[in-house]
Amino acid sequence: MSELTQELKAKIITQLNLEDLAIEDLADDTPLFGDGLGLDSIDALELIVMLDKSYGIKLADPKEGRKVFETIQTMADFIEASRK
Amino acid sequence: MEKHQYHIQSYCRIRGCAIQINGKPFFNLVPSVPIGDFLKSAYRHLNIDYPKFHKMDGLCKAIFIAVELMALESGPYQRDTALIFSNRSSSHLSDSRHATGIFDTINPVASPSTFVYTLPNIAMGEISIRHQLQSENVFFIFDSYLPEFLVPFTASMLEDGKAGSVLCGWTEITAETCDLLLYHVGISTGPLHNVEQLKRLYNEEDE
Repeated sequence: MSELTQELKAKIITQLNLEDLAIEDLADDTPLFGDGLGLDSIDALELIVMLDKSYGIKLADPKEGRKVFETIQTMADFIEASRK
Repeated sequence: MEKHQYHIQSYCRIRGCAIQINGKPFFNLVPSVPIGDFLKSAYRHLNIDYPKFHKMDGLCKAIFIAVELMALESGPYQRDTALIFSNRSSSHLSDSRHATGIFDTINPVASPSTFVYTLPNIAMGEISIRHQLQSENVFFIFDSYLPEFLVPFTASMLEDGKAGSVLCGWTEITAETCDLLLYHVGISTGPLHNVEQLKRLYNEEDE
């Protein structure tokens, strides 16, 4: 799991152009939206595309995204669960 | 006919990898580097904290830096500061990046963060958010820098009371180079706002 969270951190930093952040700055439980990383709605779309392209996972229910994209950990949990 | 005389309160020129503010060098890179690297270095040189900058495309980044510098020189903008921008290539940088993504034969992808910048007007939105402007704005596409159009258009906006001041100019950013002249026009003191002056500022060399 740790490998997956590290991979997700690297992908998020690259795909979302978070150039002032390093992998070490991102904790597994840092909120991605709101007071955490402060991502916006365009970033949310980018994360949906990333899940599809990198992990072959399509979010069937957009409302699901709120829970899935809460933190790096919840994203990793969702990817792991989708692989089973 | 203009009732008032307007003045250029501050101006910023970016040419290639060199930035001038009010005619004085602010930052430059020699030898020149790719435009993306140059804009990132200029942002770091500005020493401000605005993470959203990194998400912007080249057009927005160049305009952001110029507008930011002018605010540092002449104080914060009033909410009724209008935006009148122009260039030749519109949002071509992002358009071509988007096209490369969606027409990729192996892994076609439409990236939302690229697509969102496929209109030049987005730059004006970014500036309005950053400086909390609630004002008129327009983005013209011309073959070349055209002060003969911009001067009377700007003056009429001020004369009609549609804006208290105007951020105006030419913002041509391509993958190869940056050619930008932005200036803040109002009733305060500064060089006279006229075609000859704006031609001079556009062609001005480093001091």
